[in-house]
Amino acid sequence: MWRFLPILLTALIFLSSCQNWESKNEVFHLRGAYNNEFYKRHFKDFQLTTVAHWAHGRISDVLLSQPVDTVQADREFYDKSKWFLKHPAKTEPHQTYVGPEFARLAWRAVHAIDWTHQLHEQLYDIMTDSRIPSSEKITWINRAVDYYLSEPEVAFSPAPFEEVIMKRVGLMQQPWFKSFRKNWPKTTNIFWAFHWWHPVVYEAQLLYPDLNRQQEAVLKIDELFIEKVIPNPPNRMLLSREVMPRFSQLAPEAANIFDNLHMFHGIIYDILQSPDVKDKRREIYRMIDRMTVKPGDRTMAKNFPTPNPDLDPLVYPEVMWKGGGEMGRIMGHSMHHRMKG
Amino acid sequence: MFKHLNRPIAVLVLLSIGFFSTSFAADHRNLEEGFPTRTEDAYPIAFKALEFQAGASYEYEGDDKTHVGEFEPELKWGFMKNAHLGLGTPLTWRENGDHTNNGDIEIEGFYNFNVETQSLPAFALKTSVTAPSGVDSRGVDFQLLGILTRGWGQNRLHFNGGYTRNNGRESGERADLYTFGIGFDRPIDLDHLFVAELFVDQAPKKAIDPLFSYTLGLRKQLNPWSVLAFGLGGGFGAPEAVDFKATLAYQLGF
Repeated sequence: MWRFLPILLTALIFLSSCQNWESKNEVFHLRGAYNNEFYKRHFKDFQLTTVAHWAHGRISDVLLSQPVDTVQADREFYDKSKWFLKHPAKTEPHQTYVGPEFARLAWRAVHAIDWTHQLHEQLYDIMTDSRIPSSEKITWINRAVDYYLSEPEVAFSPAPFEEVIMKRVGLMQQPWFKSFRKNWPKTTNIFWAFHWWHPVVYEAQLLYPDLNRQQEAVLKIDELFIEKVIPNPPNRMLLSREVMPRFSQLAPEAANIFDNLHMFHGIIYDILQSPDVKDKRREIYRMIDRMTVKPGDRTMAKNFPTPNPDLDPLVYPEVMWKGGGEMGRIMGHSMHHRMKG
Repeated sequence: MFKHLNRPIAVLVLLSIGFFSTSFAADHRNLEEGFPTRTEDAYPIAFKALEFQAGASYEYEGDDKTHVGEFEPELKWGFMKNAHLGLGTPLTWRENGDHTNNGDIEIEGFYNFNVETQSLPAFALKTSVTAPSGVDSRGVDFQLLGILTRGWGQNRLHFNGGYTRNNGRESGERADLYTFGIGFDRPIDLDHLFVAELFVDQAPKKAIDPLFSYTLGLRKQLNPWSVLAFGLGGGFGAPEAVDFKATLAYQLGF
């Protein structure tokens, strides 16, 4: 038996020199008395989270399968997502569970997404827990953000969208930019609807700290989501500052991290869809390197405007589905600078 | 059953049961021995995670016409990235009154070398030491298990190759024992996982042919912090193989 051990270890050392040898490096979530409060108090909304994360993970594997007829594939995925909205799971899937092929291609991307989903769960739990007074919520949020940023290999930057996506990623200059949106318009709509629903829940939690009123408010948001937002989705990826203005002011680092995560989903889909990108893993990892937290990022967190400071989270106003919004303003500004340059 | 245990083991069992009242975050797809299959996949629990697992099984050994019940509580701790430590003790009840080894303490160390990629499977090594703390137990046994996980689509195959140094052997028993197993898993939906396995073990007694065993099972994620597993199986090959086995197990991440 022991004769084989050196051979085995030599083989592992040899394999570890392979270019795509990668460690898993998973870290457990931060413990707190608030853990799972959102699951216990807002179960229906939690179930919608399972659909959002299923869709975000599953589409990567669908794109990797390179469907010939993207129009049909787009429609099928959209219909399946709507079916899941009516038949959600009871527990939240890891991205490896729903997008296993993508996990084999780019583990670090999946790890970054799951790690950020954990932050998202932490903050939902903190905002739900009625044992934490409103004045102390930010202390617990900051604790969760500190823990999140303690894994810089997979933690998205808390700097604003303008800094991370426009400057570091150079989104509009990338050859793959918009390739997913052009080919998968219906699925893009679903994701943009989820990017309204996810932040607006935080805003309702902040405005309604009383648990009973919060539960009513969140249920109303869920109804609004199904009845108004899915049939008439936002016409762009909404930024946190537009949908949860008060929460973005309270926790700007978290707001930016979620914007960067949402854009990262889009970047992955663009890269997977684009025929111009041959080495998809390399390109995705290049983007992660640009989007993860860098020294000094936390000092920039508050550098963004709040265009709808008095937004009522229980309505779906025209400004969400019409006009350019913050995305239009930022991209117009970037284009103007490039033309001047 | 508890009268056959020494005090530290009883404390471990009671502490473990106490954890049922706390929480959080189970590891839905991470295959572990006894849950409900023997198969290990190549992944440990997450760094900083704690996991409690308790499995109850019933076996019928047709050759001896004996009913056997087993309960095994186990605690795991992700003490560093990509590795965990485990501590468990099997508690066995046999119809024939043989309580040998009942209450041995097993300590395991698990290390994962890499995550599976498009070109490479995931590799892991598990070592465990069984201390002879149980009834009429002799010698410290040592186990080494090599694990390889390879998937395609949503399916995964797991190859387990094990070696056991049987230090507390009796006359007529092998000093070195080898095991080989193949496990398979596939999601049924987001909350349920199907698992299956086939194992072949060298029997401890030299005169006995290899023992084959199989299990089919289901894992159900109950909520974000716990998973339930149920398995049915049996054996073939040597007459000493287990005729029927049923397992029910519960896992709690916290």
